[in-house]
Amino acid sequence: MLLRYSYTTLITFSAKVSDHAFALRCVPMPTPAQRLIWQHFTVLPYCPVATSVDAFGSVVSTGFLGRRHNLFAYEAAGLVEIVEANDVRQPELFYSHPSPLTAPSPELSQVAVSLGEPGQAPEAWAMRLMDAVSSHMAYCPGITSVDTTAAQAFQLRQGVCQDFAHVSVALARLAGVPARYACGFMEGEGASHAWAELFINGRWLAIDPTNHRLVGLTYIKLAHGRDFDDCSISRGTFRGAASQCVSVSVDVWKVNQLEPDPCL
Amino acid sequence: MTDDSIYARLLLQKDAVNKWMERCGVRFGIYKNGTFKEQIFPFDAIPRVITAADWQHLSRGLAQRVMALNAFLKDVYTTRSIVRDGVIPADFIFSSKGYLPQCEGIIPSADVFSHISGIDLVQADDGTWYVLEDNLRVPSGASYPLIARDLTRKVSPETFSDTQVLDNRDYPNILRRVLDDVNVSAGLEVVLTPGRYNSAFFEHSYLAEKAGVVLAFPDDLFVEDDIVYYKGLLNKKERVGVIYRRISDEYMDPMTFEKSSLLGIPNVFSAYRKGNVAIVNAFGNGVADDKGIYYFFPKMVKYYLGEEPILRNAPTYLPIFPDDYKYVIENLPKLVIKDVAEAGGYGVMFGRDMSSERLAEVRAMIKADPRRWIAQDVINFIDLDIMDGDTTVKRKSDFRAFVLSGKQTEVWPSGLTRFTRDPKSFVVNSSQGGGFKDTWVLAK
Repeated sequence: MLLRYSYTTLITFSAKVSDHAFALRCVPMPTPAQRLIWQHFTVLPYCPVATSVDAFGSVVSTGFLGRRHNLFAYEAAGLVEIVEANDVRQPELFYSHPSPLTAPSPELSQVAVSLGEPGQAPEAWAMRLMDAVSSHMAYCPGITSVDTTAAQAFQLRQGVCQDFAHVSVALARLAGVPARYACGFMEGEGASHAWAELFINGRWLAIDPTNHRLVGLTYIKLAHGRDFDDCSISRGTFRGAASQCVSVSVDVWKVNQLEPDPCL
Repeated sequence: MTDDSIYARLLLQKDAVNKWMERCGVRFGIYKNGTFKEQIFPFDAIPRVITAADWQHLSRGLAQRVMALNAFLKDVYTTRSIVRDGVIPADFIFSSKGYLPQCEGIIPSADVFSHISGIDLVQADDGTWYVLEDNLRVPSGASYPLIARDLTRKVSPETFSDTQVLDNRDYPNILRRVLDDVNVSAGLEVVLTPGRYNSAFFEHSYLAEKAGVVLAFPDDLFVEDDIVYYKGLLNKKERVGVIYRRISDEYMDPMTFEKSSLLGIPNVFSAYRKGNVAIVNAFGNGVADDKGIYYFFPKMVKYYLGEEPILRNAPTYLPIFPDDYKYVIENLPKLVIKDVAEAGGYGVMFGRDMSSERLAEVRAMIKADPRRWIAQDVINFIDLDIMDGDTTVKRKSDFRAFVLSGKQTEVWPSGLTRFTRDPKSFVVNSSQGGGFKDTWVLAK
């Protein structure tokens, strides 16, 4: 499967700001299932952008725009080939322990127990887990925030993809299964998406509890980590007394042949 | 007053010393009930005197301790052999608040994680020294005995002319040597302070001045292309090679840690990860000075150095282990209970001060979350003489030794002695309003 993506963000400020620092995770991370054919990342106004790989394996682009500006925009675009391939990399030990946003609660523990042991049939157990999350939670934007924990979202019984993923990760870890939070793009979705990955049978199984299905060939992964805070697609700080207006657009579409980078 | 002690002549000048202290702004800020109050850090002119024999033992033990802790930190963030070999359970590392997975795989400049280590000890009334805790994040306090020595020498030079007190005034040089040892690309060396509302701002400015490095505020530094720069005069960009930061990990970089932090330098972590700047002390050190990890320290020394620990830990119990749990529940009135997540003397409770209802409550808290607590036998510290007007009284005290590690590990022959002013209190942390003394180490 060949997927083209284009991710653009435009921030306009009500007054000039300066010392604008940013850290973005918007380049598909290297995984066995995805091969980056080409990608480019452009930021406006121009400033040098450094690239590094963080401890979780995600690609981070960082920059600093010192001079005054009232508009800031970036575009990440690329072409990725997605293949059927298992990620069999051994989980880091920290994927077995609760993180700040996935800490257990009595309600979560109770559900984890009701799912039974992964035991001999961990795939079936993972499906039960996804069923439980998908049926317990209703998709409803605007109720939760980026700081909502798994326990809070579970109690609210509603949330967005981030909350569905956090609850799944928390439940898996409670059952002793290493789990990580993943985020990226999905074909046909106009925003970034999040899902959960569980390490069972010697490989990472990616489930999308929001859409109640397995993560397949139409997903592009940008980052993974213990929870949302390890995977921020975009973080920034600036100096100035200004309000900001942010508009984000995500486009992911299938292509049939290798398209060249339009910038080259 | 008749006194034939080696510090007798100094005591005649004690008021002069305190006046100088005030003039030099030797202060310590306290946050209590949400308000910030900066006050004179009370100085007591009677020094703690450590004999040459005691110091030989202590300094060997301290150097050994810090070498083991540095080896542990490197291991935690790389191969984690100590977990694989079953010496420390994985859970103790990953559930520690100080463990930062973001640091996985990062080996800092010159392999040093804890450059400036503050090791808190007490001496029991039988003369034995016990280590109470290690401070490997941003230990403060060295500036106080440093300036105290400077001022006491000024007002009473004869006190030092014929005694065998080891000079402690080379601390800034040792600090500078450490910074030079880990400096990346011969860049600028800075002390990064969060600003004057920090409890140890006096120390930040004093150490920067004495060590001959730049005192930087968060706004002075920025990261471009994963390189840290200092904004000099007329916005001249100067590359920074080492940051002696006095800001804790979680506030250092809003791009990686606490999003709301205004004290940090955005993307400094990314520069650090690439090895483009040295951070003193390194990120993630909190995992090694965690009160739960402390318990495993003797095993750590044997594991990494193949040696017996020279200094002893205070007898410690972890309720997470069944034997220790039983002991703690049965002997609670004899023990001191500490919350592993707290520092600075907060979250410390003495069993003997508790009513029977409170004891039951604490037992229930320990039962509910055994990982959160450690218990220790109460050690009867040696009480030190404190001047109270013109008489002396006995008060509880502890001792923070400073160990500096660059290419070599050196133990500073001095340290911060803190004491309680409240005769009933056992907690001597300066965040709780105690006073301090100079610490004299004798050459023979």
